[in-house]
Amino acid sequence: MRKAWSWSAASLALGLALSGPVPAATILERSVEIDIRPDGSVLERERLAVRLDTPADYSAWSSYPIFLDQNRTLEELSASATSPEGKVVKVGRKDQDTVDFTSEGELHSSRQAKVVSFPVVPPGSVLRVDSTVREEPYFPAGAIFLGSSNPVEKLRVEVRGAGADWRWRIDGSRDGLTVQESPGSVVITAANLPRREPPDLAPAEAGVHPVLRYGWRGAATWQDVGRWYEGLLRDVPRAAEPVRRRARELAASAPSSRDRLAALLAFAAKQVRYVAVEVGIGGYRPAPPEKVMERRWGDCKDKALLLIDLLREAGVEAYPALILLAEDERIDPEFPSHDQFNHLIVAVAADGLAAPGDPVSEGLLFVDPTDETGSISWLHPGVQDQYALVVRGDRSGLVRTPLRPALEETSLQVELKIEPDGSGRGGVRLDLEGDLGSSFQRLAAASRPEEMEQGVRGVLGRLLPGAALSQVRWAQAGSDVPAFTISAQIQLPGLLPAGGLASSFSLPSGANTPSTGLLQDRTEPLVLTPGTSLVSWRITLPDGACVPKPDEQTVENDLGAFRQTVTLDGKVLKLERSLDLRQRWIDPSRFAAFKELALADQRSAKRRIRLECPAG
Amino acid sequence: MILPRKKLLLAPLLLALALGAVLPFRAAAAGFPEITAEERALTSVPNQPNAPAVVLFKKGEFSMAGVLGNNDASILSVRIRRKILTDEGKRYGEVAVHHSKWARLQNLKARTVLPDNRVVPVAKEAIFRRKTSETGNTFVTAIAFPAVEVGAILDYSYEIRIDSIFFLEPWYFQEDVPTLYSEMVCEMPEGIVTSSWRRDPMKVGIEQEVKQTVSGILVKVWGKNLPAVPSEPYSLPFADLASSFMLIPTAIQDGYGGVTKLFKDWASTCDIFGKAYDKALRKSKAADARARELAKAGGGLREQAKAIHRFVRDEIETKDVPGVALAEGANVDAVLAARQGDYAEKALLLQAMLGAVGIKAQPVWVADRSGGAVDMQLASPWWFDSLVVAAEIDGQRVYLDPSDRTLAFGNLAPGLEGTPALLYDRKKPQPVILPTTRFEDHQRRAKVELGLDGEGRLAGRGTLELTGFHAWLRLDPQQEAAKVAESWKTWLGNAFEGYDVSDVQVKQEVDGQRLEVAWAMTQQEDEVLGDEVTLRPSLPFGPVQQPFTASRRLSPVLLAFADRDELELTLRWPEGWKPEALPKPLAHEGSVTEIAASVEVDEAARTLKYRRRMDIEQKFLQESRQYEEIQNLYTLTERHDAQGLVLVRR
Repeated sequence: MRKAWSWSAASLALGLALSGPVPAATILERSVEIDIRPDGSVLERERLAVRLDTPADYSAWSSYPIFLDQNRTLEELSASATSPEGKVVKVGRKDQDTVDFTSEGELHSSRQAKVVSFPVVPPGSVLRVDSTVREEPYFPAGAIFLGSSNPVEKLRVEVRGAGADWRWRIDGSRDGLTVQESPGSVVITAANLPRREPPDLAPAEAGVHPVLRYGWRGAATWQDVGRWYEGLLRDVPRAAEPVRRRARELAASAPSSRDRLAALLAFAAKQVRYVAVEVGIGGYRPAPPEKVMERRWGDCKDKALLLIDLLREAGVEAYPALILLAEDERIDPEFPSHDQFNHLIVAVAADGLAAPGDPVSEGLLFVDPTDETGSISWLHPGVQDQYALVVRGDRSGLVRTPLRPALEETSLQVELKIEPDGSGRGGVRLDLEGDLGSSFQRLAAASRPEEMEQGVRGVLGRLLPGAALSQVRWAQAGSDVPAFTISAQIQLPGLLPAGGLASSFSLPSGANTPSTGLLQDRTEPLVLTPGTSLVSWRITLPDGACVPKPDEQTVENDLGAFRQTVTLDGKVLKLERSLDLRQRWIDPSRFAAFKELALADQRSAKRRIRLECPAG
Repeated sequence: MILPRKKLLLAPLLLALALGAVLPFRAAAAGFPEITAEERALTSVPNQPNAPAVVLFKKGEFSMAGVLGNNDASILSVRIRRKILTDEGKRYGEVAVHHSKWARLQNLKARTVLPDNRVVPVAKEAIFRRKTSETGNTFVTAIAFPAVEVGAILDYSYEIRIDSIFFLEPWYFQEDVPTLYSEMVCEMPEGIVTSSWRRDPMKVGIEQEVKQTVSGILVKVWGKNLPAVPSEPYSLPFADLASSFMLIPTAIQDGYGGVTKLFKDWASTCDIFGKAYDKALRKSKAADARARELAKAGGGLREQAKAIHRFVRDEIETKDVPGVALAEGANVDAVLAARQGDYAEKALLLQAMLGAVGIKAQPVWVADRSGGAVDMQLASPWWFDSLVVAAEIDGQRVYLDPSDRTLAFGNLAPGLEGTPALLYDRKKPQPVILPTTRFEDHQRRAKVELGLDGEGRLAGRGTLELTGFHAWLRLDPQQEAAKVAESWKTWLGNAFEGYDVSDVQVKQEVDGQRLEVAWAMTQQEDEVLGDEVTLRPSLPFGPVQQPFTASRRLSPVLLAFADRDELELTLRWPEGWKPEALPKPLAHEGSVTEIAASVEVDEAARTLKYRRRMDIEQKFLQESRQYEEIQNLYTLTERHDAQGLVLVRR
């Protein structure tokens, strides 16, 4: 179950990494039986038999975790290893450890793992684990990943006892799966499933898809999920006087509702530090806002609920919005359930408050008090273009947050004069806006000047390999959208060979799109980082130098646009290159359009600039 | 006498110290000292711009079992006061303390003092304890300080109760933020003789005073105005950069003239472990028999030793439990039966098996360089995290590491090379320096042959040979051949972006510490421009990027190992094409580095050969001129690698 609720998407990755060893070995049998009982509890029986195919497999599988929590208890566990000769060695209690663990970014959690340590056995041996876990679900729904990074010879997944008003859905391809449905149950079987090896830039969960989602006792709509969450919030003491007083104080000098939102968001984002403590249902239910304000720490849901209460006191209508914070993952909007989100942000009624360009969708402005560098105008890309479940009574439902690629901009400007030895000397400036601006702001705040200088030089070094840098400077910029500027004096040796009389030269700025080789035989979507990349070179050529032929290339389609111009203005060679990527998730049907953009970008970056030399 | 099970047992304490989650004592019971006017007024630290926080004080007090009023256990007490100086410094608002069944946490107290003097205690529900291992009885307790803001002072203190007189971990005076004052006070009872040790690599000025007290001896060590420990790439480990102090008991006097030696010298230190080692070696009937069986395969002593080493290395799983102590009841036959053992257990098994065929062998206590430098003047087992075996074969000493399946017979991992070690012997232990290898032994050599066709598309073949530590890094003898080839295909595909890599053949030789990869490559159709082609000739090793970007270096450079990269590119082109741009030749030789690159063009044969060799001859570069030299090496190489090799249609 995913209930990270933590700021960092890395925590989720860690959670998944714990769920099974990497490649090799063959899963001979994986059988999962989900027994939904009349009292609402769920018995989860899992049988796993893994054959070790190579000596490396033992270390990958020798410690096998079974995940537990306050609402997930281990009822039965047996494990054994069978050697190729048929000798069976049972795993005793001393080889079963219990560890409490946290994900990255969490200070504490109630999550546990019962870790089975197998005896040493050679390749050809089979490791078996049979476990029964009893779960008291917080919400009547669950999910089972059906894919694996190991080949699976036999798979059987059964969900039963769900009663008449149940629902299920397979998210992802059904290739190789046999599905049998009967009233209140479903059985999925498969044989000889190959291991899943997602290509680069694939969705995060591609390696474990497809996923079977199931739910019972109705709860078939997002509105129901919203009601469930409101039920949790009802138990949280609200509207405490200290919170209301604080809201009034903070809003006192803010004349407009937008100003009030800005002041209260800044308070929740910057004056309450992010600390994640996830204990049982507390992984979903926020702490009382009064407490959060008093202790000045909390996780995303604590900060969000505090902001909502502050806003309400200041007369601004605001709602919790459950969302998946991930740049390479999406929820399944077709299957309403509680466990597809890992983050809570705030949806504010935009009317009379939002400005053009703000992240507004369906009349709601989304703000994220977890992000210290966020603002009314800018949302972290991980919560852009995602379905958010806005929790507001009967009006609860999914709203897709807007994608704002225009606010994610990288601009490299180089201005050089060619020296007699052919080197270019001048200045470089790199402007980073949006997520990169935010990252560099954080880095600068956390680093000593000498560390920051090393980092900044490293960035410029990657963009302009071989350049000699001096007077390296950096500064935080931007107010609404986080921005960061780096500048330096630069010398690029051998830029224009033969003192400007060469017939061609190349600029070090590379392409900004991934190789089109990634599209070969690809069935998974391509997940990109939308945004704008600008490159501008101004090169003052020496007298008598060869000059460029003016050139212009433009490619534009619904995924984005690429444009490059080469011109001569007096003695100044100007090269302007821009790439706009407007979509994050490129489905196979759009690969051709992506290829068109990528080829234009990559070929332009690869081609040398051709010069025409004066006669003689 | 109670010995810690493993170094691991106390390692978490070290972590706690490093985090600044220091250790207290009676101070904890006495509450927090008053905040001074200077502490309140402090907003920044001179010469430490951007410091996000400052340690106002960090005090430790170790009261050894037997000190008056403290008979049944040793108590390590820690008291720390930090001030938050910037918003970024709020990240110091959480601390974690590791503890265990044998090192019990008690009297944990914490509070936040706000700039307006208000005191906000840490509520019980903001203290979180979780077990990191039920069977290991290890725990971590975390605190989230309340109301943390710029200007806030965070006070906390706690005690660790240890059922032993041993506390062998160092006290680190410095952290990653400046420290205004740090001290460690150790109080030992009458009759316990101790030896103290200090390290002050940044010359911050650590002082010490020793006093006689009513119940014994008191040693106080302190430092003032300590800078933050620098964080630089390829730097020495924290343990080597931060000033530190250790105190170990060297003897117990019984009051009647009798003396029991503890960690007085290496002989007495070895003796403490001797009983367990001897006991483990005594139960070796099955191991002896197995060794004799392996030796039957014939050959001389060296071949027999190789067979036994290979067996222990490959057939006995290595459990990653660092330290030189043995688990209670450990014996070599049990390790053989279980087919798994930790470093100490595997080394003793190897020793026993070698002994069974008449090869003299003894354990060697070793420490990986990444854990900090060993000072053999202090006879502390804490220095060492693993064991290897020294065998006398044909009149030569051969060091054998049975813990690593990718290490050949007689080879040591790079982190052990040239480090101080101890030839374990209960009577005559011998400090030694482990052998080193030459940088030329650790090579990456690539040969790529490419031909351009009439359409402007490149295709050809390549080979890559890795030797020594480069091979060691990439050898994967346990993995099936197809997966190894797949992994190399991915590596080559990333290195040669824009090419389809196929027909990957991999040959792995653990015993030769050698790995060979051969492949075919074809430029992807989308990459073909038709009338020009640009190659980065430094592939697959380059283009390199300068890793040493700082103009001024504060700490020495420590690389994983010294090495040589060599590559050769042969390029052929068809009629109608010509080279338009070539990398300029490069030749530069320093005292510990060398780079040379050249291009030979045979226009008649429409062929060119590009060669590049880069040597780094030492892994430890201590002097500033050596830093400048390696920085210059990378500057020159980066500039060279940035040049493309361009062919164009005429």
